[in-house]
Amino acid sequence: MIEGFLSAIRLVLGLICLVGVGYGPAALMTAEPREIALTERLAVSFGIGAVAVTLWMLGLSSVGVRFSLLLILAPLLVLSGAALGTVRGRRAVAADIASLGIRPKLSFRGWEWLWLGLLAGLFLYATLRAVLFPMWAWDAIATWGFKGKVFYLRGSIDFSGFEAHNYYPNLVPLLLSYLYLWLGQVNDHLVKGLFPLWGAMLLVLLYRFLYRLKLNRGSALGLTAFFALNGATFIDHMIIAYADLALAYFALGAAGFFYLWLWGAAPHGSLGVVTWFGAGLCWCKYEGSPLTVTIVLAGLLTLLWLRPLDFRRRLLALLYPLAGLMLGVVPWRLFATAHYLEMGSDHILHFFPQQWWQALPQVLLGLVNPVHFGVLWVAAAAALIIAGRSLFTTPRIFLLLLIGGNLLALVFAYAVAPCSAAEFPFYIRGTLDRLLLHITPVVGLLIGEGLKEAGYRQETMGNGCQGREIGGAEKKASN
Amino acid sequence: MISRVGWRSRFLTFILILWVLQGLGLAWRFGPDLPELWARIASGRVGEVGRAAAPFQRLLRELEKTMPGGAAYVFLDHYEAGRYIEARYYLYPRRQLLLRPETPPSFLYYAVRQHQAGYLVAPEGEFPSGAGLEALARTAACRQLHLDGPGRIYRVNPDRLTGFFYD
Repeated sequence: MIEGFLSAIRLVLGLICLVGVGYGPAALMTAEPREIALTERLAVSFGIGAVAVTLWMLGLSSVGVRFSLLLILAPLLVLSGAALGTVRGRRAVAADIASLGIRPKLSFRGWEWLWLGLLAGLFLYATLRAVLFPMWAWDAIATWGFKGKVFYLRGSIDFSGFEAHNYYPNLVPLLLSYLYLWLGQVNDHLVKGLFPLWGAMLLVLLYRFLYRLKLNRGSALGLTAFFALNGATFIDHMIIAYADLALAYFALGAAGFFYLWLWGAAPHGSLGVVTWFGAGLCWCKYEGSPLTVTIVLAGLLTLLWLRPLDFRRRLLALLYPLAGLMLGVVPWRLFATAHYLEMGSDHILHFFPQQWWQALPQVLLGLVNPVHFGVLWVAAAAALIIAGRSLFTTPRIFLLLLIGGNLLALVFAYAVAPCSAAEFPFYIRGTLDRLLLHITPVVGLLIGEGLKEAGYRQETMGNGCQGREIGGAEKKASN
Repeated sequence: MISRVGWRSRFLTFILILWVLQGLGLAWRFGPDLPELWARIASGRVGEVGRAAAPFQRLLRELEKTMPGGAAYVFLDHYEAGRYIEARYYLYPRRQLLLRPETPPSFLYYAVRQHQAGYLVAPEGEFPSGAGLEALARTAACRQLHLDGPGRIYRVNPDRLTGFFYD
């Protein structure tokens, strides 16, 4: 009993250090007081910390140094501390401490209590369901959890003696290894506590983004609960230790901050966060790189379509997600090349038209399958109708392009998958929900825009965390 | 005639009703877990394989307790069945040597000796075990362990396999 309690404390300490590693860069980038709430900064810090720690572990393995907590954390925490020692860092810390000192006003109304209760219940259920059972789901024991165990026991990224999609990116396995280092053993049930936390961080980001988009607090909370409790896919992924939830979190962060920036509603320094989250996207799953590319393409097309006043300067902003792409891809590619790892290229050899036509209706049916995502995508379709013409005259077109582009990319991916005719329907059935999950949190933003159009917007500028004035893109569009 | 705002409001209400209905489906799906969660907390059975988990996983968990960490084992199964992945996860860092059930005696003997495999795992499956396992099981080098589960586990002493077996 006492041992279990101590293990839980170790796990929490490991997660706190992870957030600590990310907090310095997050504070440095988004230092303006009152522009970003503490919860949002912590949610961002978690992602940046995960990217920084795992890329550093990759670096240690590259030079043949065995993993140890001291070697992993000491340099990163020193760097994070140095960032906090700068003027910008100190300003951010002061603002966060001040926000802690303010006694929170429990001014929630009836519906808001209900939404909070539902979210808290979900988090409690998912945490218990995750930590009380060992890893059992297929991809967890075949790939992510297995590699996490191997890297911890060998003290490095070492693939000798097995083949488990060795070319896959390793953010999630390395994060599991990092937590095993904290636990001092392979404890494959307690370590799964990471995933409900990841889901909670995703929900915090979604809520904050919706609030920044000027939905009122009740609607933002309600929509967050609507997203989380719609279909079983999101809940399942808070439990089963796959990399898809991490990918969805990074996708929401990268796309969400970029979208807010298009509106001029993002805090200063958000594009730097987009870089980190873009890196996380590419470093946690193979599908992350094309997703990052679709963010860049959707951003480019949006800017070309809306032609804001400062078009050329804004075009340069696309370099931020591209930098993330490089950060998430290049180090791993270099490592793989140096260690003669064969990179999977089997998915780009052929285009099978019959698979395209088979996949197209399956993907569309998957969107409305209540078991996967409940009525979330139905609500998104409703939001499109409600948003109407504004979809084409405001940065909302970015969401349309990003979601539509990803659905198209998904069908295309199925069309080039090397799969026998007999297995193909099972292949789609076994992968569709998780592939749709990657982009689904962004769909939450689209529904938020629909709700806003339906009259659920803030009456004032809120609590001062709202960000800057609306940027050039909207000005041009509203002209 | 319904106003624009009224139309939107009714539409949102309709979606909310659908959401509540699918919420009942979620409760139906995840609700049965709650007694098990409570029982685990109350009894301290944290981290045990779930009752719904495949019995084969339970067998591997049992085997994990008896097989030394540095051991190697032969896993007789078809790659397509995927069970070797479960064994690989639960038994790591023990070295796994995956061979097909129909492996002939000569190669099985060679593999056991070459890799100093101290254990042999033959999960129950649609394919019958081949001549290799039947021959090996009859030697003094091989002793069956009696662990409950859908499969046979053997303790093998590679040094007692004198070889000279030809097909």
